[in-house]
Amino acid sequence: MSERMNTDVLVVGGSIAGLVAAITAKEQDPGLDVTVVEKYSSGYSGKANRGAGIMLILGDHTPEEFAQFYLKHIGMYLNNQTTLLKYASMLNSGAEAIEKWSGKVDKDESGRFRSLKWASKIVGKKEDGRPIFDQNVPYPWTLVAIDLDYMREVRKYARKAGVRFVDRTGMVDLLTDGGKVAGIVGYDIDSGGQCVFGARAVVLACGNQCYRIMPMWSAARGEGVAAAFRAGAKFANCEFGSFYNWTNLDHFESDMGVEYALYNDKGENVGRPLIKEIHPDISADVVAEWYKQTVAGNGPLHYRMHENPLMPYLTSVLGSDAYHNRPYADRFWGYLFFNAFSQQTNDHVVPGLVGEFGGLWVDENMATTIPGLYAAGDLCVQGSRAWGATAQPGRHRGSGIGFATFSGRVAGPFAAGYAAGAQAPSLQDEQIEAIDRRVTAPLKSSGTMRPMEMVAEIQKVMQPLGNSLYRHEDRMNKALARVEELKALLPQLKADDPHHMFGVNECEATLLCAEMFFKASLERKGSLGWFLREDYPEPSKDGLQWITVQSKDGQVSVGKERVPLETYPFRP
Amino acid sequence: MNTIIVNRELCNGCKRCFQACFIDVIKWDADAKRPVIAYPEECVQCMFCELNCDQGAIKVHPKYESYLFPRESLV
Ligand SMILES: Cc1cc2nc3c(=O)[nH]c(=O)nc-3n(C[C@H](O)[C@H](O)[C@H](O)COP(=O)(O)OP(=O)(O)OC[C@H]3O[C@@H](n4cnc5c(N)ncnc54)[C@H](O)[C@@H]3O)c2cc1C
Ligand code: SF4
Ligand code: SF4
Repeated sequence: MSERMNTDVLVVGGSIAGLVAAITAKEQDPGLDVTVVEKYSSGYSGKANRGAGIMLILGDHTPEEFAQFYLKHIGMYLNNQTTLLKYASMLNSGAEAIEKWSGKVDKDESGRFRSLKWASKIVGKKEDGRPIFDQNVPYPWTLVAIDLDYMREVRKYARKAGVRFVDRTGMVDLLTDGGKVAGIVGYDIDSGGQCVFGARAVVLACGNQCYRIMPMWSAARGEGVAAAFRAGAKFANCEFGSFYNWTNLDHFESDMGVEYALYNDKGENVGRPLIKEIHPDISADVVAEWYKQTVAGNGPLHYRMHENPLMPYLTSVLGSDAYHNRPYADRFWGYLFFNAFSQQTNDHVVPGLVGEFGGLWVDENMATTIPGLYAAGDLCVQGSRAWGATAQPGRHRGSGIGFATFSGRVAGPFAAGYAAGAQAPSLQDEQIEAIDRRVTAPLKSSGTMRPMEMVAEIQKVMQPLGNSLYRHEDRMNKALARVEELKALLPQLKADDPHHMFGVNECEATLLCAEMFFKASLERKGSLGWFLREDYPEPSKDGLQWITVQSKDGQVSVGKERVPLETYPFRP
Repeated sequence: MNTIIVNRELCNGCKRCFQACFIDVIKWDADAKRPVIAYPEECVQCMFCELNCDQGAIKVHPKYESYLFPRESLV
């Protein structure tokens, strides 16, 4: 049974990027019909409310100051500087917008945002016991804190503004008409019923790919990446989608600042010597060192938490409300820390693959290469190239919400502008039927493999540091061969309900992401920023180039584009 | 596998836990007006269902040993 619905602007994904895009599209043109389609329940779904809730703003720093620092220390000039500057110039107003929509940004007694710079040191205590920080740190940005129930409020605001919501409906593919976007095909995740949406413009805001390895990132399964790829959209910087967080195998909670206090089993601090004077966040070099030490037989590696100089910052901001006032976040983190520390038995530390593969190519207006298709949030962070040679969170924590809010505020109005001038879409039945055959095939499959078994196999290819962080051609070719073997097993996957039908669609998307990641990685023959190659330790001699990925007759095809440095304000 | 317990007496059928789950571990039984813990093996102990239940009617006990993580494939 198929339901059909038409709308002007369709937003896929009802977490922060999607809600921001929907609100700003509606506000730009209240006459347009704006609909959010969310796989689970918007207001609770996504990553945006399960993290630390800190959001990057510039405070008193200028966008130029931020960009120059960023290019030099983090992005290595592999950035689209136009988008980087636009992002920087919209960060402060982004936090104000979140405050307007939710009222949940922490404020001081005088009603101003209570901000705190990353890695500030405690120098004393106020009368009420709150810490006093020395905020004289070399980073040209600061952070505000949002209480983690803010997404519910933002959703309420969107509803009041007239945005329509369709929850419990997952998109599986985009529809196109003459090369332009025409809508999406989705399925009800409870009943399995098909829902087809015709739309004049679509904003993809359904997150990136995190391989279901680290628990809190589990919802990011790359269905948006795969749908955009199948529709013919271009991708860039896919090889940067392998962020790792420090974790402990007793509980899988994340740690920050471990690199300062990372010891091998011989008792040598192997992290600190690699930390440069400017160290905005975990660097790939230290994660690679974990790999080298382990391969050399010097493991397990230990984390001496009491030596981590970030701890005062982390415990006052994230682990408690000693500095900020966020009752909901405080309860949330209370639960997590209680569970984790009550089961931790040792100080061993490992890098857990977070992934954050989001390479959908967008220009500075968040337009993809498909007319009418826009993107926002995690899905297009790398593809925007604003951040350059880094993995999300781009070595500046608080940037996930920052980028999602920025890109949503750009994509929404541009999609609305496009929709206002676009013709009503015409939907092609053959396209819809072909999608239905693909997606429902596992319900009829005679195979016996379960989606979770496939997830486990994919994880074994993606997690190893030798494959995804400290890369080498031989290892990547082996990984790619394994990805091909797993792709060949896809028809063996069996689903007996809508939940597992989506599970199979996610597996297919995950394998595609893995393939794009390794193929793009093989093409980058040189180390740069977060991207490390054991076989090419130096930067490539070909100069600064973006590796692009696009479908050619359904196959992953890789290309290169020179970074147009001569057109940008800042040079190395 | 994590243990997720619903106390059906305390539960008032508000549906919040079902909405709060971001990966479809919890389904909804519309007739009984109670949550169904349909896929506990996929729970990632985010605690959102418990955190959002005003009645204290749902509890999550994580069992990290069985969490799906490629422990043997680190390097
Ligand atoms: C543990 C953790 C800590 C973090 N801490 C911070 C922090 O302190 N500061 C910060 O700035 N960032 C932080 N982040 C990152 C931040 O949460 C993300 O960058 C941000 O949520 C991205 O927003 P998004 O809307 O693009 O994607 P998401 O929040 O991932 O939302 C994607 C949405 O799309 C929906 N969806 C997925 N597939 C489909 C489909 N097929 N059809 C329809 N809908 C679909 C999902 O259910 C979800 O609602 C953290 C992330 C995690 C996991
Ligand atoms: S949140 Fe609590 S009261 Fe509401 S349905 Fe779930 S268990 Fe019942
Ligand atoms: S703990 Fe999180 S993942 Fe597990 S059932 Fe509750 S909401 Fe879902």
